[in-house]
Amino acid sequence: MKTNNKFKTMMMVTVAALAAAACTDTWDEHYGNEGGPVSDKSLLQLVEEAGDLNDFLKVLQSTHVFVNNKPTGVTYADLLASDQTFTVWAPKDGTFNVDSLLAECATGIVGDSMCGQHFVQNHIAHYVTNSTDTKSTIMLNGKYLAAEPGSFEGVSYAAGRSGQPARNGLLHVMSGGLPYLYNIYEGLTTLPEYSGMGAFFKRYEKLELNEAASVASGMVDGNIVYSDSVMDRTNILFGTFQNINEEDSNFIMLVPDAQIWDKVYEEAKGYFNFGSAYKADSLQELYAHLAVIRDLVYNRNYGCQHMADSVYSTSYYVGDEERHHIYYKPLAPGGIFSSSFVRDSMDASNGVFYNLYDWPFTPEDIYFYPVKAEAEVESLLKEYSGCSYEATGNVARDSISDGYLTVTASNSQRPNWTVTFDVPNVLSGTYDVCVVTVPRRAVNPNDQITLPCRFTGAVNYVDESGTKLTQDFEDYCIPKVYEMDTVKVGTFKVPVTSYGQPEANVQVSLTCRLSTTADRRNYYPSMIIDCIYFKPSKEE
Amino acid sequence: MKHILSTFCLMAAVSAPVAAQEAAQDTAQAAVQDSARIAARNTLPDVPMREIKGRVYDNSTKEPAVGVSISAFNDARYAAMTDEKGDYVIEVPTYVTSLWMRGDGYNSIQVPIGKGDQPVDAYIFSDVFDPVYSAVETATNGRTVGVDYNTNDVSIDPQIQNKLGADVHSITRSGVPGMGVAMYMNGLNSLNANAQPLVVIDGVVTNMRLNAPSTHDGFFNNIFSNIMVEDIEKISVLKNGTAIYGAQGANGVILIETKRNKSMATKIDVSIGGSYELLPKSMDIMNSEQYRIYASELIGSTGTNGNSFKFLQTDPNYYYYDIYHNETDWQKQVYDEAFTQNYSINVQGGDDVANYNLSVGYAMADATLKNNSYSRFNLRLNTDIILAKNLSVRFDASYSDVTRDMRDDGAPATLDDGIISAPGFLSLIKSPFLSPYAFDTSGNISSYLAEADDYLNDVLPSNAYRSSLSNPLFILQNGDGDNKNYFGNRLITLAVTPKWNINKYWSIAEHFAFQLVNTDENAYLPVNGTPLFDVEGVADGLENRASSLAARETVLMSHSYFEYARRFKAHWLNVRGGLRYQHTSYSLNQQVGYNSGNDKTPNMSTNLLYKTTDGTEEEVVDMTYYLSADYNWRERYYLSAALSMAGSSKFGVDAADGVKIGNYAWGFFPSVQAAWVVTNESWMPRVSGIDFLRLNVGFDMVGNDDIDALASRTYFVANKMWNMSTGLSMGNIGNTQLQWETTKRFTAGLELSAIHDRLGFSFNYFYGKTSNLLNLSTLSYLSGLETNWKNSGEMENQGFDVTLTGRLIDRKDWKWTVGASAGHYDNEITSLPSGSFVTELYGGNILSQVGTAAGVFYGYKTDGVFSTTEEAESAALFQTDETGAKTYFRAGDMKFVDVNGDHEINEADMQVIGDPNPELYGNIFTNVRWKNLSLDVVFNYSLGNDVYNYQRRLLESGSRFHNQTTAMLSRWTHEGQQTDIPRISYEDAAGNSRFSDRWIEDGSYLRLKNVTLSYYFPIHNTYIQGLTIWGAANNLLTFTKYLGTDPEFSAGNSVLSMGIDRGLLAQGRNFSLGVKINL
Repeated sequence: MKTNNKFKTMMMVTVAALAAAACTDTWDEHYGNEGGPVSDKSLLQLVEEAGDLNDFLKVLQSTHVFVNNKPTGVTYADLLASDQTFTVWAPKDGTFNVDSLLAECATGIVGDSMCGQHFVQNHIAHYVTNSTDTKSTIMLNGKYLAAEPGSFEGVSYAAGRSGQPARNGLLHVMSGGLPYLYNIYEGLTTLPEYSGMGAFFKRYEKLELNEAASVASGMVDGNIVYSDSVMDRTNILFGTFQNINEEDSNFIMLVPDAQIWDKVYEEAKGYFNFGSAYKADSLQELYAHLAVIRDLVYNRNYGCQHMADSVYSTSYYVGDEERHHIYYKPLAPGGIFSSSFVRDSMDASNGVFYNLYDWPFTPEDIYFYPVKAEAEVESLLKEYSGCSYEATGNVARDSISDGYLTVTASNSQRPNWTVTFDVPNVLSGTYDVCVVTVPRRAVNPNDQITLPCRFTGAVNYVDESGTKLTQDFEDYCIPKVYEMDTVKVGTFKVPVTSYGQPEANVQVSLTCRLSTTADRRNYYPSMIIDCIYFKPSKEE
Repeated sequence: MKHILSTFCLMAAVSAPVAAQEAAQDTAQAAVQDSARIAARNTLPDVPMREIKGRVYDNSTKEPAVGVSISAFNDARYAAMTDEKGDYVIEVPTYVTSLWMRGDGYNSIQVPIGKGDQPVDAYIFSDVFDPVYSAVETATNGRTVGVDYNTNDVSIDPQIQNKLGADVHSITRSGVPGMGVAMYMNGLNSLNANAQPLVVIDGVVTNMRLNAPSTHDGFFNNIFSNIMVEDIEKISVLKNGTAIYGAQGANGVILIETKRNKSMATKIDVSIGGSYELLPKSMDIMNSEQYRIYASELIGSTGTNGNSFKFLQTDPNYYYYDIYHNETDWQKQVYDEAFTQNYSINVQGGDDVANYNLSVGYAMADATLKNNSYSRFNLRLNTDIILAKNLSVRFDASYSDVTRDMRDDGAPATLDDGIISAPGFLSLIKSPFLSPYAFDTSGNISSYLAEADDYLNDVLPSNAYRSSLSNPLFILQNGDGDNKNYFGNRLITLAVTPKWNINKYWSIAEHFAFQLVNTDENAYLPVNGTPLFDVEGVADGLENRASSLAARETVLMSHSYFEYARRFKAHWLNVRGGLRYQHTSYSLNQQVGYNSGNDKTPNMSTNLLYKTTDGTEEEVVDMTYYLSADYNWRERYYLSAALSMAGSSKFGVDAADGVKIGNYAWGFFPSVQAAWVVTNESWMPRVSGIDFLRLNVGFDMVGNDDIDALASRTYFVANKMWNMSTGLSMGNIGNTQLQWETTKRFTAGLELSAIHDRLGFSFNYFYGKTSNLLNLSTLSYLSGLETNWKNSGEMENQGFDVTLTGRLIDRKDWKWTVGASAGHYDNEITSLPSGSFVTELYGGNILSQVGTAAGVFYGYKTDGVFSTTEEAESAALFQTDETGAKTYFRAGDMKFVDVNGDHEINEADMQVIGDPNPELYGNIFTNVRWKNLSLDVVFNYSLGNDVYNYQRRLLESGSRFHNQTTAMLSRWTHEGQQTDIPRISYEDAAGNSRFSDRWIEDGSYLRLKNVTLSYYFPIHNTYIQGLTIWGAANNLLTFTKYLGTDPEFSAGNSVLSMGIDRGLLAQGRNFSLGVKINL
């Protein structure tokens, strides 16, 4: 009986244990990853155990991870043993020059940095990329390399060696090293053949404190002390050219030979003569450079989608009524991307360099543009006498003018009024000085006045010494009564530009000239002005 | 005084048959009735008599049982008592078919006397055994159980589950103390309305307010937690014959009766107990290293072109290194072992004029989820007073005050709106490499709590705060305070029940009750430690939230009834009728506002932004006239019939099935039951081994009136436009034909006691058809409203429950009982106006469709993960986005089953993927007793129910920067990898984590629910009359394949939310110790 009871007890315990075990099994099977085990080895261990990745391993162990432009004590070998996910494309031994890399690493911080950026980071990416993927992969150095089934950036996988899982990512063994490409900015600032233009870009490069990202820990002697100071490498020109330093774009950069560069730069300098202005030379250099460069950068993702027809440069903006920076048929003979100007090209990681042997632009194409001062902008109306005026932003009939200024003599007996306008951004070149007038009936269909106004013009300007002078034009100007009229007041060579400056140093004065009774019978002392218009002139 | 006593005794004698079973449980009362027999002898009818002799033995010792009362069953006027040899002689009318034997310390039994003059001997069991059958005097079917007091449970719910496991399908809602159980009887009798049983506490229909709103997510309103377990005498379930509850009885009825005094001796019981609950089972989630690998892999699918992130820097000298290199087990931060205290004093006593039962209790219970505590103070006085000859009155009063410290619990219904505020869920998804405490600017850890995390700012800069998670400790600590997170609930009940016994047959009574339930609640989400958050329809970038709620329910009940009980020789008739009138006034208002500016002013105030106020004001009147009759002939053939006429202000005035009387629609609900006690047949041999056999069959038509109070009315609601001007807009288009849901139910069953009462067996079968299902009907857009309520649709339920009990050992010192119960139902929707509809809950789809059970899960089936690109390309499965573009599934994606073979995975490929309804549920129980030492063990189980593991879905979707379970370590990462976990992808463009059978699990379990060991010290002296020390353990073992922390849970109280696990607090192992002192 006792034996029987013991047997029953044992049976019950066994059944309970089995039941418990079964339940535990389910839990363990699911949460213990028995359904799909992955490796518990790190990427570093896989590299170490591969046998034919020793060269790559040496470089990993010799290069350091940089943080805030400073090397840390962490090597890339350490990184591949860490708890974050990477994909590593490791070139087999003998497929790259390990000695030169090791030597570069040994030269110090710069060499270490270059070795890391140009080689190690170029073979490692965050996240997971399989050998069957088709995608653009961002490498640790920020370069986008192309993954295709069976190859990566054109380099094939070593047979049967792709996709080796580690607990922190994947290891692909490659038949060779992956090519490193400069991006447009790096190319300009690094390659000697682009040194002329590159020097200009380099000049505006800065390493500056990112206060928002840095952590201040207190004040010492009135200065903020940072526990963590984040330094950003910036360049004010990045914004001007849609960030030619960023890897996720696709630019076309026209780069002239050094001689051409010098020539067109010298030419441009003549249009940006700031005379005796404060920091005139710097201003001249900056604006002349920008003037020359502004149509050299094209973004294939914006403005180049219909390249057979036209392209526009990164300087183009949609609201530009004059539609500057647009070039038609760029690939056709005579087009800016054609062999008429382009000698050859060179790939960059974020685009392509087109090397120019000839300059495809005139000053009128890229910077010597007509200048307009809208008359209805009251801040430009600097003086008026003998008249009253009414500025309106209303659109005149049929949109022939987006706004205008109506000037009317205060006293019909003394009708010779004068108005003076600022004309900013006029370059130091020769212009035809014009006034664009609006017919009265365009503004008021019921207007019964059929007489034109008669006036003369003058230009107030500053010479190279800073002296304010006036150039009077004696010829009477009589605008047409029934149509928009561009009336040339005279031709004038502006000696000093105020381009980009807050104060204009060119003004235009218009004076109504009705002296006699006959004048008053044949002319009317009122005029509707659309704008003052400086049209580039070839006359010297 | 003697006169009053004899009057009381006479009254008791006359009414004794009605309450015979109740009396049988109480020897004191029986003694009273025995004395009444003498007084009533002169009234005995002149009928042919027969003499019965026999001997009663104590079954454990096989010795004669002395002093056992013998009476004609259901007629205490004919009674005798066993002598010192256990012999008795009783003279009973010849129509009597069975005797009722009861004795102190014994279980009462019904013994058929058969024909002839053979001695009617019987073996009677100790009352430490539970009765194996219920000897009721009506044809209705139900089950009554007593209450165990060796417990520290703060509400009666666990005992309903443990003792009525097959009768009531009970599902514990969560591990927070007093959250209770969701209960279903006779299958699922509603789709959209309440499907849980009617609860009647001391005769008062109690609105459980199961769907009452709360300012805390994951909270369940549970009135049971206001009632101290020690106050409850017994629990009964009515499985049929519920027509007297008219339009409220369709889901079954649970009757709770509180203690009343039954002895004239003063009795004082003091109970002190404490419980210690261990941490609940925790999920296996990734550690710091594993999570960082996961997160750094997931970044690759965010589209970021960043390549340098603070939390991925590996230089130990880096400023942020320490901040992002911790190993925090957040679960340990928010969970803690919990302690429960339970104290009560119960005083009973009285004399021949007044009897009273007075109890006072206090309980305090912490949840294992920190800052979720429960406390209750309760007071109850139940009195029975004899006012005059034939006039008695019951006066009952009770008060309980429940307060809780609370926080949100469980995974939120959506992660795309609002803020994740539940500390428990946050502890699962919060990055383990972060510290709960902040680092100062010198890089040293401080004692200040860390703010919401921001490590993803440089990954998702344009979406920064939406990716941030709160510090759960801030929510726990900074949310503490009655003006921040608090729940208070006060229940006051007053009842007066005068009863006048007009003569020995007729009586009338009035039960007047007043009940007040006052609830107030505050919820507060602090500014500190939480990120900004968006709330759809409110604003983006909100800072914090304060909300409050106040509700008040007042119930006035008047139940006037008469009773006529009379025996006509072999015929017994009991007729009862009355009117139950109940007026319920319920008002609720709740406010929510945002951006208090700081955590010092958490209250609702005018300074908050985007304030909204919502509320309810209801006045509901229910009236039910009823008439019921119970008849039997010779206690062999029983017939019960009832008819009620119910009206409610919730019904439409033109209710389709209603009869219009006056201006109101009334529903009529009949029921008829029949029973046959086979063992009382004269041809039934007494030696057949069958000691008691009762067959019953019945039919009920009952209703479910859980309709929104104003659903049948057209009304306007106030709106505030742009927080500026207030106006009225139509709130509802009433449906004047709206009515109750109607359930017609056929029941049949048997009760059996066999092998000399060693084996008890009960079986009940039911088939029910519910029509006029309440459904939301789509309105024309011209109405300006989307839906209104309508009656349409039908469903059927068929099932059974069975209980088997065996008294395996009955010796003087040893006694052992083993038993098991099992319940089963099949539910099928047989008609719906639209044929089917899908309800979206917690990202899952619940299908309601003709031909399926209610609550089934509807989604995609999967067939593993594409291991290779070749395999994926070969399958060529794709999905189409809104622009019509095709996206092909690729290696690492789930292989969804293409049902229609068109290669496109879309809604056409969805199918039923799971059914939350169990195949079988119930208990296994045993009691072993040695002398005064008793061991009770209860298992409960549920088999064949599917679960939608919503929480696991969120923890294994691989689509967010939330920590995941360790199962995700086997996620697909490389070509050729064989796994069942797909690749991870931010926001899951491929839909690998869509609602599919990946998240449907077998929720079957067997749980060792309770083990109680108690020892009774038979101390009897001047000061102490007895002492019991007990210890109990709950939830000791759970056998299940379920991958959540607890296979028992409720996402809500509705049928359609059954089986959805949102990760509410799991039940932990609980150890209790207590002492009961009888003074």
